[in-house]
Amino acid sequence: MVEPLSEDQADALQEVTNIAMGRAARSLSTLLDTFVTLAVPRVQLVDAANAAEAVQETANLPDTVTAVRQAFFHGLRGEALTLFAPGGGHNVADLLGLDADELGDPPEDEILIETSNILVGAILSGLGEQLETQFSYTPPSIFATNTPMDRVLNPDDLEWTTALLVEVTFTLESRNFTCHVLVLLAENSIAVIRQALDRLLEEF
Amino acid sequence: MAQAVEPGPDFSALVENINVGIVVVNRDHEIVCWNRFMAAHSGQPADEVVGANIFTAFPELPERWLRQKLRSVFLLGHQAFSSWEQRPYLFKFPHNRPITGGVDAMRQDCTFFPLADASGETGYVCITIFDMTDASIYQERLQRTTQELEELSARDRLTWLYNRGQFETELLAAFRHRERHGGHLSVILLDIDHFKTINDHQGHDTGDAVLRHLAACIRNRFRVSDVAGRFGGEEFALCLPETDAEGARLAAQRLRQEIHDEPAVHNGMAVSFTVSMGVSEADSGMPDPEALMKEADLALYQAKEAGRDRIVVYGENGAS
Repeated sequence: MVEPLSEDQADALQEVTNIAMGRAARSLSTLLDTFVTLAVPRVQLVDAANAAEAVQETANLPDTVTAVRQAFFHGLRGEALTLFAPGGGHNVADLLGLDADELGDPPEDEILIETSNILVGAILSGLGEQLETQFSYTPPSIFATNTPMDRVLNPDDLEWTTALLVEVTFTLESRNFTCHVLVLLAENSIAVIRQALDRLLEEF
Repeated sequence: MAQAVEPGPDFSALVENINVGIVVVNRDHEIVCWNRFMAAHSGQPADEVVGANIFTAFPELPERWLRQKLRSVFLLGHQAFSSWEQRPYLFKFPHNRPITGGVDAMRQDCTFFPLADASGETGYVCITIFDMTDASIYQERLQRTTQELEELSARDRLTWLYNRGQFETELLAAFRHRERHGGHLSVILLDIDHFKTINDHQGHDTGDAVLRHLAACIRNRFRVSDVAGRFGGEEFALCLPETDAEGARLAAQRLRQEIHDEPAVHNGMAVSFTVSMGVSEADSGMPDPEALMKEADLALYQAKEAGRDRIVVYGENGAS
């Protein structure tokens, strides 16, 4: 059983995440040349058994999602899942320099993978900077296509029992585009975070 | 990377010799590093491309996409990727499987990562290119084999019609479709008359020839949207979407006529045989396709009882 974060630690983490998302949103706005919002509705410890439920509660997701997965390791270990409503990717293809006619098959995959990589990279480098740690990444890949949420995070398939979940909602209002990034930090990384947070708290 | 105490190897030789493509570009997209892998596969030696703008030197590159990719690495300072599964290649290189390949160009996985300049700022992007051609070919083969296995597991080996399991799957889909969208759906259950006698008196080879001939007649006679299956031994079933009982009866009659006119042939000998068929049409009262099949089975039983070589539609001529 993982000890829950203290109130101070939880506040500090929420604060760190907000700062990180502010930075990430600014670089994404520059990159995509349009206004973006990154909201952090909640940072929480979740049990594998009710992870899907916890995500559904905050994210207001459609019935089925397409998920892109990317693992990160080195300073902190964990996985990031970006959840998309099916079919939305085409609204943002041109922002990524992707032309509909030169895309592979199925064309939406590349858009979603690309979007996920940029978001996860921006979010994690923002977090890493705040927590003074760095990451290495695996290439992103399609994890699930048009799949109900409880099958994306099926407790039977999850290796962990408790993880720290940072949820980030990415919105491009001008394109009517939203997706959700779930950063799941593995159990043994929670201790590392705790230490980093305590260090930050001491500095205040 | 930790700095070695002793002078250690020449790391530029490592970059040069590693069997991975390494390209480094600066913020102006000028090539500053082009290793041997790149030179060998592109046919362009380093001294010809280093210093050149990558888009001028390689006009066939997907410029818009690559510009944005490089921009994201410079701006966000983190890695980007490209997989052969979405984008088969970045540089169009011939692959090393000219005989066994079956693909047009080397399949590539690429990684783009930032490199700092002397001031510590991201001044360069390194592109690494991995040859994924073999993996892509194996994956392609695996997919083909999986498809073949799925096909194989759905078919009856003798007649190549669907087997019972697959027929039931198809029938269920047609049944549900009719429930949602309305329309007609009929089934025909068919049994070869006195098949045991053919097998016992003329041999199993002859029996098999009869089964194959009947399957061929069914394939000739019915539409692509109709589903035919061998149910076991000498029993066959047909699922006819958008067909009412009368339409199914006509189709059954034509099949019966064809079997009369064109007997099976085995070892140069004509083998005559007849079939009995039961027909039933789905109605809204039926809970599942089993109920529909049960009616067709009762109709078939009546056709047998009434002397074989005939068609009975469930609910007609006192049949019920």
